[in-house]
Amino acid sequence: MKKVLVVDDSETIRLEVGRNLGHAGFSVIEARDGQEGLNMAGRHADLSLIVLDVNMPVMNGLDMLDRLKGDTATQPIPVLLLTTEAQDSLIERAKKAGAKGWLIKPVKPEILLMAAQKLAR
Amino acid sequence: MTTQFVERSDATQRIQAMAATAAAELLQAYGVTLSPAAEGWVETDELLYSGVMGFVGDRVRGTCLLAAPKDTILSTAPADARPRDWVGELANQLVGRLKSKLMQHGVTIGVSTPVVLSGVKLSPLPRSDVAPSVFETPTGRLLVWLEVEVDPEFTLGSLRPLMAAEGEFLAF
Repeated sequence: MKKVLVVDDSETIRLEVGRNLGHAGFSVIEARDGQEGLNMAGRHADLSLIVLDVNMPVMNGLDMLDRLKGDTATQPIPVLLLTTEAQDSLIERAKKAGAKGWLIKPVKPEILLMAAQKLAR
Repeated sequence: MTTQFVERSDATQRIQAMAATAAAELLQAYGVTLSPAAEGWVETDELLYSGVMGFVGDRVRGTCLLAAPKDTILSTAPADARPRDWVGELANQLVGRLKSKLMQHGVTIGVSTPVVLSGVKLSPLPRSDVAPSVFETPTGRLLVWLEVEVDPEFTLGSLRPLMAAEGEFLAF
């Protein structure tokens, strides 16, 4: 079973993303901010995908992305940003940092699932 | 050099109107249709939930508040959502849409994380003469209120498209 880490400060978003991916056969674990997400990614080397919010307390998603891609253990994990942000410069920054995709909230479940299935390793 | 910010009713009205459009689009995306209320905000004994977000850029800064009764907030939410969490996320998504609309006019802002409060008889007390936007929904009223300050020379540029829109997937 492919394992996905969902990182978002909204419990509702984590539940909804987890529910949609869970119904499609993914195993889902959650983190509430970038620091917690980074810690969990370090403990779960078998992650197939990280679904990552941008605007979060403690550590934002783009800083977490930089840290993930700077560590050889977590660098190969595909990252999908799921965010309210549509700022071109932030999208370009994520792309350069090594993210695989960007989804802007609110997103239909079928679009989320299509993106997860396309990007999960 | 430090930018001096001022209140300008014309700019506040434009940005308030953008936020009102953003709110209507956002709630529609969650299946709730907003219609403008015939009268302004009325204090109520219902428990209201409010999400508050700050935003700041080189040429504009301000605060956005979204407030509605619990049932109205939950009418837009996925199953099992808690109102405290969801109103913060709704405010976050509202300001995200407002940010996109401002960027389409060449204005870039950064946003804070949401603050949430609840209470009864909440009432906006605007500093300026620009009234908050009040909407009717099938389950209650919804308030969208902005306080905005701008660079004295602030203007909105001509409309330009962004790389991506709400709901879209960009694969890299």
